[in-house]
Parts: sequence; C-alpha cells; structure tokens
Amino acid sequence: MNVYSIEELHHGFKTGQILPENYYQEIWHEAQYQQKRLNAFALMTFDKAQQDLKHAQFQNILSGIPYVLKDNFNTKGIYTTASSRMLADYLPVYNAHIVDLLEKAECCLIGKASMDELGMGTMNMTALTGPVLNPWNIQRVAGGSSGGCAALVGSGVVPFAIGSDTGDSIRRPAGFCGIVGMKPTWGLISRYGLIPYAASLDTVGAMTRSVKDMSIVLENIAGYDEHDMTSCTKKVPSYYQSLSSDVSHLKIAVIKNVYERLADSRIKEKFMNCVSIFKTLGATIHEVEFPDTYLQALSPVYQIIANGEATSQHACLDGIKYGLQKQGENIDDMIIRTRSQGFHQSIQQRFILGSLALKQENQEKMFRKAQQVRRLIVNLIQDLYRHYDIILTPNGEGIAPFLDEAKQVEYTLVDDFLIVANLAGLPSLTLPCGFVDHMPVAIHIMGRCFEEQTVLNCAYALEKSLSFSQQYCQKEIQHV
Amino acid sequence: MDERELIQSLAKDVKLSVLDENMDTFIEAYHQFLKQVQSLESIQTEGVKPLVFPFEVETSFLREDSIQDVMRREDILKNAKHIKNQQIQIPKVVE
Repeated sequence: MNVYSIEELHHGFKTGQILPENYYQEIWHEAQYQQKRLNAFALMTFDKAQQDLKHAQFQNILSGIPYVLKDNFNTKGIYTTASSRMLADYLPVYNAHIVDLLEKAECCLIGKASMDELGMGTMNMTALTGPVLNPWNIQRVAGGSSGGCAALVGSGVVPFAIGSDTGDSIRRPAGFCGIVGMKPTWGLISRYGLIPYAASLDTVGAMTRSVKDMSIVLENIAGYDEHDMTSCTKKVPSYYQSLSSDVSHLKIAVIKNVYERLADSRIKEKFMNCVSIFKTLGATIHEVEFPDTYLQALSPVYQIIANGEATSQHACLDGIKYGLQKQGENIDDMIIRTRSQGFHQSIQQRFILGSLALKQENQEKMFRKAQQVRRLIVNLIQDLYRHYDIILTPNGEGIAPFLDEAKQVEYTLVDDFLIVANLAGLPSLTLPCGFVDHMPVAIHIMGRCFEEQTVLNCAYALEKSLSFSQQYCQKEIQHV
Repeated sequence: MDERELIQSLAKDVKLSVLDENMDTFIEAYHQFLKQVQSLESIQTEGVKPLVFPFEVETSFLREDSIQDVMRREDILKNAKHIKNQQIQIPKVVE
C-alpha cells in the first residue's frame, strides 16, 4: 500500500491524483494484513469508513482522511469496550465530542484500536483482544496503553490516530513504534465521551508520523466543549499555519540527572545528538537538575492519585445499566460477581489500593499527602518554566521489550519523568530520534501549559534535522 | 484484622471479591503500595494545599441550570440486560 502524509492525501484527493475508492480498497487490504501481523484493531469498521467517505467533499484538509480511535472513545452504534470484559457488548448511544468533531471534518473511521484495559497499563498486555505487536519487530510489544493506535500509525495503515494519555499512554507506545505522539495541555481537548481512567490526569491526544500532521490534527480537535467542565475556553491557534523551525530564541532545559541515568549509552548518544542539533540551530541550552527526592516521588504520587481516582470513576461499572452482568442472590451479590469476573486481576488490584488510599482514616496520609507532593512537584516544574521555554528528556529508558519480557519490565526514573506532564497538565511530545537494535528510540519535548505551538515548533526543527519523518514499517526487515 | 481480611474488606468496599488463589498477588501489591506511601513521608508537606487538578483551573465553569441534551428512554435502556415496564429491572432489594 502507498503511504501518504495528511497533506499529500489531501492534495491527492482534491486534485484527483489519488482516487478515494481505490485508496480505501488498499487500506482495507493493508488493514487486514496488519491485523494478522500486529493484532492492533479491537474492531475494524470498514463499512463505517465507506459511509464516511460518501460525505467527504475533500475541501478541508482532513476531509476523507482515514483514522483510528482508541477503543475508549464512545462511538454511537459501534462497540466500545475500553478493552474490558465488563464492556465487551457495550454499544454507546452517543458519540464522544472528538468523534463528532472528526465526523464534521469528514474523516473516515477505519476502526477502534486495541488498548490496555481501561487505559491502565504501559505495554498493552491487558487488552481484551490480546497483546499488540510492534510493527518494527513482531517479537516485541507496541507499548500501551494506546498500543493499537501506535501500531496502526507505525505500520502505515492510517496517517493519524486518537489516543488518551494518563501517565505516558500516548508517548510511550509512540516512542516504541517510531512515530510522533502528543499529549497536549490538560483541558485543551474535550474528554466528553472518553471512558476515563483518572480525571485529574486523563488527556486526549494524537499520534501521527510527522510534526506537521500533528499540528493539523491538533488544531482540528482542540477547543471548548460545553459538555466537559474542564474544557478550556481559550481560542485555538492555527498550529499548522504557524509552524516554524526557528528555535533560535528558545531557552531549553536539559534535565541532567534524568538523561545521565540512562543505562544504554547508545540511547544516551541519540539524546545528546538532539541536544547538539538544538545548539546548532541557535537555541540556548542549559543543563539543570530536578531534585532527586521529587524524581523518586513521581511514581508514588501518580500511583496513589491514579488508583484513587480510578476507584471512584469506575464505581459506575456495575453491570446494571450496561455491560457484563452475572446473576447473584441479591443486588450486592450480583454487582460483586459481575465486577470480580469482569475486570482483569491487575485492574481489581488498582481499585482495591485506591479504596485503601481513599478510606477515611487513610485519606490524609495517603491521598491528600500525594496531592500535596503533587503541588510541590508542579511548583518545581513551574519554577523551571520561569527560565526556560522547553524541557528535554529521553522518552523513557529503552526500546520496546520482547513480548515475553514485557510483564517484568522495571520502570526507572527516566521512564517516570513522562508522568510530570500529567501531574502538571503540560503539553508533551514524543519524537523519533534514532534506532537502537533496529528499534526506534525517541526524545521527549515538554512545554508550558497552552504553549503547544512552542512544543510543535521545537519538534519540527529537530525533525527537519533528523531523518525519521513519515517513517513506518509494514513488514519484517531482515537485518544482517 | 489480618492482611487477608483487610484486602477482602477493601475489596468489598469497591464491590469486588478476591479469590483465595489470587490473594498472595494482592497482598504483594498491597505491600508495594505501602512502600510507595512510605516513600512520601520524608517530604515536608505541612501547610501545603493539596493540588486536586494539574493547575488552578481557570478552565472550569458552571453553566445555567437548565435542561439540555435529554436522552431518550429507549436509548438509555438499550444496553441494560433486564428491562420491565420500560425500566431497568434489578434483583429485589426489599423483602
């Protein structure tokens, strides 16, 4: 199948150089092939895509462009499972706001993408439909929780995907699959119709194969929505028109005690190469330290808050109104049987630990304490942003693990730093920056709240100096 | 209350029941969680206001308290397993 950027597709459709019907037949064949290879779809919706295509006039830039949605966005009349047995037969009766926006933009939905159950995971190992494999090496995982999205963009099936990110769920799989992933500022994109994980951390975002495509998608999905009370009322700028590779005025902080912890010198070398490029482009680079005490606190703060919020948010999954239902002697028994059989064991653990942190006698020392430390972490980051426009770190410790090792991976402080963007609500982008053991590695670029343009420009400048834009892998590569 | 009873009690609070064969895994997770809680104890937080959302939410708003987006009853009932007289039927609560 021929693989195009959003700009190329738009131009091709508009001028008649690409015939939409033929192109969608190619996609259909490729999607089926990649599904056998990667197991990335939770559901393929080709009939829906063809219906969508009939409405496309090809005037606006997203008209007729194919995409996939993580399976935690409600789609009216299309199964939405969030990869949970609890919701295996759930048919939404309304669309998530972002689905309405993309329908209005005349995009064509190719399918719902696999994910970790309820977004709770980092390797896509708890998906109802099984693990998702990495397009660059099918013996390795795609990462999670938005693993299906990353694999389908990284294998060239679609030019963009919509995911969600609570701790690193867009950026980690994007990094593993060699594509661009962005978690924008908390509140920039409506979460109405997103099956949640943790309300104070959940952010809707996107995956593409280039920064330019990301800017196009982002400006089409951002903006105020009255159905989401945390939705931002700020006017959305034209990220695409304003995209610039001039970074000479930018001050960039490189977190020394994060990148120095990288165990693999080859990944460190790729990261330092990016730093050198920014210097060459005229940006001011300073190495700074983030206090170790607070680096070590990132994961505990995240776990306590995320588990607590998840416990509360998923109390509604009881099998009465929708989803799985097991019979019981009374209503309590019925709900307990349903939830105990409907959730994966790892999800049940999170709920139980969340319940522990929220218990009246524990709230101050556990949940409130974590929220207090969260404020201290956010204050430290905001102090850095008084002096710097951008913070740079590696996008985690390593490359995508092998399938049989994915459950045993131990996370390091380098991995944990991605959580900062969720705790502080910051825009954060993952950009491919090289290969190690024939697998993609990435850099993490984080900016001030609502300064998505600066993050995109910074990534655009780096992307132009590297050679990984629009990369994808459709079949196994024999490495000598 | 021993750890097994505590886990079962916490599970009950969130409408779950832990099988005996899974209990050891849950206890291990419980201990790991307690370690995480302990790791925060050394951080001085006296007088620090908890941060509930990522930033002081300038984006929050309240709309007028008027009826909007009313869902049709048949839509609401579409996903329910047991329906009687156009209502969701559940096991008897009052004997």
